[in-house]
Amino acid sequence: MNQSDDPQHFSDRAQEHDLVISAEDAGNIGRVGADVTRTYSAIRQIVTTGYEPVVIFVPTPSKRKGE
Amino acid sequence: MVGQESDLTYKSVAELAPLIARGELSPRDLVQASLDRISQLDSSLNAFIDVWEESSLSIARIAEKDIADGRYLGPLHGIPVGIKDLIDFEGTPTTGGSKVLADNVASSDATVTTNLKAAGAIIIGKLNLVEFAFGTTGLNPTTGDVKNPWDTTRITAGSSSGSGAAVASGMIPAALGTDTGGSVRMPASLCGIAGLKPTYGRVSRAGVLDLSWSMDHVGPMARTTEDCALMMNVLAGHDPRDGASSSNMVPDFTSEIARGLDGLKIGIPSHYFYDEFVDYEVLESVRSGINLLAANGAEVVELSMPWVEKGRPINLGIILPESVSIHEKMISEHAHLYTPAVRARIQSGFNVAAIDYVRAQSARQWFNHQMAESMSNVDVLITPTVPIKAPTIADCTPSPGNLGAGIELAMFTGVFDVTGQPSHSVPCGFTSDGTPIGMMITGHPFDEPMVLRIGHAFEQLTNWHQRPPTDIPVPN
Repeated sequence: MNQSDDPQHFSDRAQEHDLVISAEDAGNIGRVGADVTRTYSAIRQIVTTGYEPVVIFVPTPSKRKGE
Repeated sequence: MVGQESDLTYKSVAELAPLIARGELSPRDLVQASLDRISQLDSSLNAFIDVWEESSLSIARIAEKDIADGRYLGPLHGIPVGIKDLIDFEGTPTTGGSKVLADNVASSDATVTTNLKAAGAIIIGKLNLVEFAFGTTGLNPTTGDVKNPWDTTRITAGSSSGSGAAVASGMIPAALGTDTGGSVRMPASLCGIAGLKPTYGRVSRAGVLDLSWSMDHVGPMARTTEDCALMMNVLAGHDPRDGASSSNMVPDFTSEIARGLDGLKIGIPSHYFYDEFVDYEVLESVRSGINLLAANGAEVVELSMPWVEKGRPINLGIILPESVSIHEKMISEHAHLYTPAVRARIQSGFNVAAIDYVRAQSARQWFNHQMAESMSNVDVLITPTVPIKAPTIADCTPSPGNLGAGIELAMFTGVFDVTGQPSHSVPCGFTSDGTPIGMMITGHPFDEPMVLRIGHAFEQLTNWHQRPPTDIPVPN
């Protein structure tokens, strides 16, 4: 079990980032946590050099009022 | 047991519309037939969260008069439809199937609701779903599990579970669902109806509760592909209320539907979708379907796509952090009101590093590039919609330490939420257990007409979509 799989550590770490999850809920994540780990492990194996993330910043259109 | 009770309950929109237009069928009689069917079956199937009997009949009376006075609005005029309870209808609750939003009354209509109303469709109620659409089985301990009309011990799949069951059981001819990992196409497949996930951005999501904003789609579920096309003619179009809404030209989605298969090229992925883990009855039915298309003018080519198995991890890798960010405040304040399985799914996103989300979004671009390259010489891909037969509700029900079966359901559909391509499920057979099997037709972005054309051609060659469930149990 790595640090973030430990329910209390998971809960404490979330609190540090103003995210609320009880240690009990963190413990109940169970198999979902393992699925999450597998999901990102698969993604990390993809070589994405040359591909920027899908979400690209677009400035919000604006202009001076009255013009 | 109840089967095909009325001549009206299993007619398609395309069959009903001319009868209404000519004054041979009253919208009031049609709505009443739907309400009767719901009253007869919904205690067995649990497809609806809310049914608006009085207002539906009242709107039907107005429709009847308008049509008689020459103000016919088109094929959806007077047609009863249902909408998933993730979609706003002004003045009524949008609960997302959750106790958290039990008192969340919509202050305005979703754009898709407005569009349906403007076309004269009669929205008769809100359809059941997986809590906040975050799940694949269709089960929901808060609103009650939706049962598959073909076998009420089995799941419908989800999350648009009520939409699938209501259309398949003849309660309504058409419904709206939403699709982020396959939630239109999976229940369409397991319930034996047609379901289209349009191109991302083609149909507005304004006024629809988000699950994962970069992958959420709204789409039609109906008896036939042609009905999905008729619905798309009403639903599609640019909407300034939705930041992801596309300005691409909107075609008439029915215009090419009857052009047949000659000259079309169908790609069959040689990896993943037809691998050994897929149920053999599913594989057999889909392969038979492809052979039928080939025998009737389509060219079939095999495509090497060894990278395609990465699609579902990318799909999940984006859904998890986006959904936790959407639910952050609500789940911090009301965690106890969420059902345990959905709470665990959402909260698992708290553990995702920012860099992993960015990696997933970069991987999505890489994946889309691979898909576009692979499909450069074909019109569509054809695959099974889901890799397994409909599991039982008992097998899919979570228990302490066991999240239940059904995790494989979205392995194929989620791939095309990543790419945003139009993807359509049509019935292509039955398992030996008597539950439907779906075939998924996926086209190039914004080429819904091609996907619908092939789906319609397939339906002209088969009768899978015309077989209604025959023995839905009715409680005493």
